Amino acid sequence: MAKDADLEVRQLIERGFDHYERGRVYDALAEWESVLRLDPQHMQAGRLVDFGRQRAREIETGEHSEPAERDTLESPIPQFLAALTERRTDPALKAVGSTWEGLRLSDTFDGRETLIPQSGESRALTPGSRELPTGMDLDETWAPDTVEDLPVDVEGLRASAEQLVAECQTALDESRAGAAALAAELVLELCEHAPPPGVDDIVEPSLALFERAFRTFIGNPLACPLRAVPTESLCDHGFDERAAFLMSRMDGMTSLADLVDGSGMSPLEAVRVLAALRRAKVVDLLPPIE
Amino acid sequence: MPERVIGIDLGTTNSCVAVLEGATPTVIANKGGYKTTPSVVAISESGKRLVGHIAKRQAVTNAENTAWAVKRLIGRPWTSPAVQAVKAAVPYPLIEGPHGDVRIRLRDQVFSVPEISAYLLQELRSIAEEFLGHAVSKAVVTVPAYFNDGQRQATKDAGRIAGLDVIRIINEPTAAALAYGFGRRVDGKVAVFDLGGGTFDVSILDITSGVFEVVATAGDTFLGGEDYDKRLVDWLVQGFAKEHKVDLRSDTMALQRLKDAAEKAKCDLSAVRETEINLPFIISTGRNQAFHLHRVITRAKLEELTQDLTERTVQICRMTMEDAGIQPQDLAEIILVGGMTRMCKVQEMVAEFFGREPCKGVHPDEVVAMGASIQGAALVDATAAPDMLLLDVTPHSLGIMVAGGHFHRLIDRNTTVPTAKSHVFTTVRDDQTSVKIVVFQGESDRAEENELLGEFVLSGLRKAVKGEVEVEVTFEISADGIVSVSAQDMETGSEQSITVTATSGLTEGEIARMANESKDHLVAARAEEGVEKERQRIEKLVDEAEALLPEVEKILAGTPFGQDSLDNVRLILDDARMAVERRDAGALEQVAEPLSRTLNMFRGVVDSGRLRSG
Repeated sequence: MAKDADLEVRQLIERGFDHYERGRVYDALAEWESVLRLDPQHMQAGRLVDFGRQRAREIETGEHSEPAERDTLESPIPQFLAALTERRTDPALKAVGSTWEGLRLSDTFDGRETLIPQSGESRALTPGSRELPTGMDLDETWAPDTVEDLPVDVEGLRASAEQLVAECQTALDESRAGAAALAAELVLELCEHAPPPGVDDIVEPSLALFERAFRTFIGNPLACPLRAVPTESLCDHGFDERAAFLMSRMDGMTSLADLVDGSGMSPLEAVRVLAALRRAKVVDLLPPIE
Repeated sequence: MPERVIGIDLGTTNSCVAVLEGATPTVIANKGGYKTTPSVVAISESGKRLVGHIAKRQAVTNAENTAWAVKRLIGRPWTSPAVQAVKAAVPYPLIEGPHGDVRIRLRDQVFSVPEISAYLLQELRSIAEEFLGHAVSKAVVTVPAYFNDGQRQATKDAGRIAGLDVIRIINEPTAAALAYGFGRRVDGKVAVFDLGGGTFDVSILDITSGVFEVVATAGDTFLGGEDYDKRLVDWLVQGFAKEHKVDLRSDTMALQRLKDAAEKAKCDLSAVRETEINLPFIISTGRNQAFHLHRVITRAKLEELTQDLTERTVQICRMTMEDAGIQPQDLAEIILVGGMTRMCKVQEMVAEFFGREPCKGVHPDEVVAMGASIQGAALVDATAAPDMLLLDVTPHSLGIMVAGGHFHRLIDRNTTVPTAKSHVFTTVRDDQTSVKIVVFQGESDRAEENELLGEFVLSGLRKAVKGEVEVEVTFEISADGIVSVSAQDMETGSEQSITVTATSGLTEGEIARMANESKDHLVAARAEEGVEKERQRIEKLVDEAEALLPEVEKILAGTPFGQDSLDNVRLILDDARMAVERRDAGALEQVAEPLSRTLNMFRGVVDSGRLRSG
């Protein structure tokens, strides 16, 4: 194919992505179908057209509906983080925080937390008043929706970390992938927020377990993700640039496994971000390349 | 039917594989549909070996563990200035090997350069095997015309490690001209202007009645598309810093995205006059403020940013033409090779310098591999390319060191190979009983300023006054460009010889070990692929069975095949689902048969149930 045609194909594919990210499935499909008219053998366009047609059918039959608001606030963890945001603007909470020994609000806090903390960045834990419910059984609908759901003391926090690790294992054994990934995410969040002495000694031996939980949750490693929201909106969804980096590579041809391997991140970090993206429903999956 | 031989263009930045299908050289696309594969090898944090596109796409974020442009290192000794130049330019660590060669450390493993090249060759071989549907063991591999003996030998070693018998090494411009001239009548002198991703070469070939002869060649191993991309990245980084006071270079992920986008924009500008570079959420501050990069670049701006690079190619062309004593009007055709020759400014400057429009009838990324495939077919099947004869030249003068450290040329550069030449030398000291033959290649009159190829000693000479004993030194260069040197005492007939292998290369034992390791890795990778395929198959069966289960439960309710049977099949489905999630090869094997039986039973129950009700 001549260079001009190569360029045209690429532009059509990208315009299709742009439509799709903005929920305009039929427009996306039209762009991708144009590629096939130019080059009937174009593998990527063929896959995208198959996917787009299937999605269009699902929309027509009511099997698929766009989330009313595609926001990570639909997922439990940002819900919890949003709760933190609300509480931090509450003067009463500040008073509580100031009296709670060993913990304080982050000085750099600006009213919003990222879902995935910046690597290497340590943030203070916001105080709360009660422990996570004892014996809780995480499922995909469980949400620590207020700051009170966090443990208030180090012993309680450590106990919760142990409980979350156990829950991650149990959920994985019982094929409850969502709950396992959620438990893994929560315990990692706890680890990143925990005040000294922290919970690293509890979490670190289980990192392989968490990686497995995230991998299981994100699904078939050979499936190829596709952006379902514009990358520029990720920040509004609470994600950081690592998520944007991974999203920028989602083209319906690059498998989850290749995304992880080619991310330059540690496998745990990469699958954790991908799990968060999946949980937030900001990516769709195309079947593996035959 | 003769065995199929693949043609491989093992490039500095991108590689390509082709095979002659009937009378048509066919370039083979990889699994992703791309016809070229980046010459990049990396080891991921999990220890996985990455080759090609996936390795390239993480080259910035995993820079220290990603080897690229290893072609600049292959066959070169550690002490070579070129190696030291590469060392200063690449982020992956180079270390000195046990034989004075170059080794590359990726994570905790140390690789020889031919090993890294072998991984690329193995990938290309796999691409070809998948396309052809059978194993491939023979290949013709191309190298730059200026490659010396050590570099050619090391390339052959890479082939052996990859499990390929490299039946011929041919020069890249020769391969390009071969593809260009294949099936058409071409006579006269042709210039091959090859501006690839990392290197630039220009060669003059004389094509007469199907005979291809390289008459001059020159180049710059540090000039290519990546330099153009870098200029564009610098421009973007500077603009972003000016606008947002944020240095994108401090973030490897941002830099990787920039690099990818710059390459894409550069390619676009070969077809359009301006293009947008849009990188949403490229970086954020610690306070979750997202920055987006959005810039428009024009073709004129790109040309301005890279003017000096393009001019350098023309300077090299001028030098080569002068060297060959050829005027632009003597040339019948200018063949453009390498992706960078798509750039309008490059084409303009080439046309201006040579005084004619370059030929645009060949695919610049694929033509070299196509030529190699034609040569490969011709070597095993005389009818594949009748009347075709390749005559390459040696790119460097060859000779030995003589008294005073001078370099005595025996074969001048640009001599057609295969060739052989002898010269008689005499002893320089009284009672001298041995002579050390130190073989060099290069153009300097000082031997030590040239590249050392090898040395050996001819002993047992008769004691005599200096100048009396005569030793005949013979140089031979094979069609592959591999050099053999022998020295013979003309009085006694006693002889010593060496086949000059890479002076800083690998031992036979090392090559054999690496070849075994490479084979083991391939076997393991294929086994893993097999498990994944089986996992996917089982997953589909589980999905189908789970979808049918509610209907089956309904139909079987109250029948003799009641609760117990259903409990059993649920257990089977649970086991299968778990095996799928755990990717456990043993468990997958165990569940396959009961799962198939269950699914057949489900299908039968559902069919009969539907028949009864319908």
